[in-house]
Amino acid sequence: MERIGYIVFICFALPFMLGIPIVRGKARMILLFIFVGMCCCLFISEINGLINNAVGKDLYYLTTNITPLTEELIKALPVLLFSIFVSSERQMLLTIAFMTGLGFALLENSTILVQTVILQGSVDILWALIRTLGAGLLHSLCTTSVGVGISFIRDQKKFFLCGSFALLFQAIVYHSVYNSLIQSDYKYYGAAMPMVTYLVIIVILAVVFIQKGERKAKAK
Amino acid sequence: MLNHDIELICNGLLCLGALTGFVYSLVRFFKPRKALYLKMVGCALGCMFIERLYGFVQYLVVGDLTQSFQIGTFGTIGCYLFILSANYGAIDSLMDDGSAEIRKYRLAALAAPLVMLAAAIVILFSPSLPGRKITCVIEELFVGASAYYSLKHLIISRKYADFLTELKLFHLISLLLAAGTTVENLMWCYQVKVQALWYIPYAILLTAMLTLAPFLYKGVRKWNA
Repeated sequence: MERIGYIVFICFALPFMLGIPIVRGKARMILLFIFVGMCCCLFISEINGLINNAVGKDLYYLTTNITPLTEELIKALPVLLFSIFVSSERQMLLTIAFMTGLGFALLENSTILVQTVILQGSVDILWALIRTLGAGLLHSLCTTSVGVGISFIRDQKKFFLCGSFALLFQAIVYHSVYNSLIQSDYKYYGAAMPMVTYLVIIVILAVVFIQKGERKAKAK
Repeated sequence: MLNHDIELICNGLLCLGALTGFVYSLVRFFKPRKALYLKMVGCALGCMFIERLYGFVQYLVVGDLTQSFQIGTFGTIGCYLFILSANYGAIDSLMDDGSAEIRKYRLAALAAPLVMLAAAIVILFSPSLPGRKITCVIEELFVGASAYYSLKHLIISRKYADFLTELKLFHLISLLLAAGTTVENLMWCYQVKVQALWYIPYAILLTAMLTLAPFLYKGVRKWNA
């Protein structure tokens, strides 16, 4: 029971790792960063456990003030390193940032699912929807926002340091707002928060796509 | 401090104000070929919105902002980091080549961080909890750094940076934002009992949040013209 995180990691993350040498190109990058996200999740669960023991505050305080900080930091790290050492191309950073968040959410959701089933006997579809569209999407969105932001500022040294931290802080506070709402009487608003953000982003992307198409048509 | 309901409404209003500024900057600044400087200011408003949303949610859920460390501080720091990196990264190098002629403006601009530093020292001696004091002092350091560039760009002569003339109002509002945050921090740490005084920083912040992006847009349009 104590090592459930490791068992879930072996069951879900190892298949991704085994696929990395087989596939090629962008698919390899996708598998790799889903795996990296899962590793981040496993690592940070241990760190959060240690902080929990050291700080000794209640669960609400920890989940609204400590875990958003540690989780967003650890998820942003691979994205930051990738942008420094490999590529700062926007589409690439967007993909790997989203995949890191996805991998993180995948392992977190799987672990919580197994734990909840063991403790409560069963879960329902509403629970699954809230976990997926809430926390699952939240992790991907927060990491993506950092990744996309870094792609804008990576090549400009004067912006890079301050900008990276500012983006990270934005993600941390957003994560904390979600954690506060999801544990309160307003949990459905909390669950809807990442979904609303996601929809807004999709609408913006659609508008940009349409405008681009119109401009191309005019140019022709 | 204000009573719970008024505090909740004030934070809600500030949240809406920052959201309005953020949406305005999304529409105006986040377009292809727009300067990164504008996008950074937009992100600063986004940070401010998330920070105020955090405050609003805490009042709604817990009933009070925790007296020790609270993570919403990162929103404030993020906001000023965005303004700082926008001013330092994009504009400062265009007007300050490190020459001795500009030294007087550099020195005069130090007045802003010195005021923030003084505020930080006053906060350290306040009767507030150590966690709260440290958070406010850290905030003040970033507010001071951002205010330095805002003041420098506000006071510099037209001779050195002609383009900055159109952005003076924007820099003035940036300073107003910094002043609002400082006054709010001071009042938090001293737990000011006179309720009417609490409306001062909130009014300053709301005005700054609503006007920051439109004045920047107006300034940039004049500059381009």
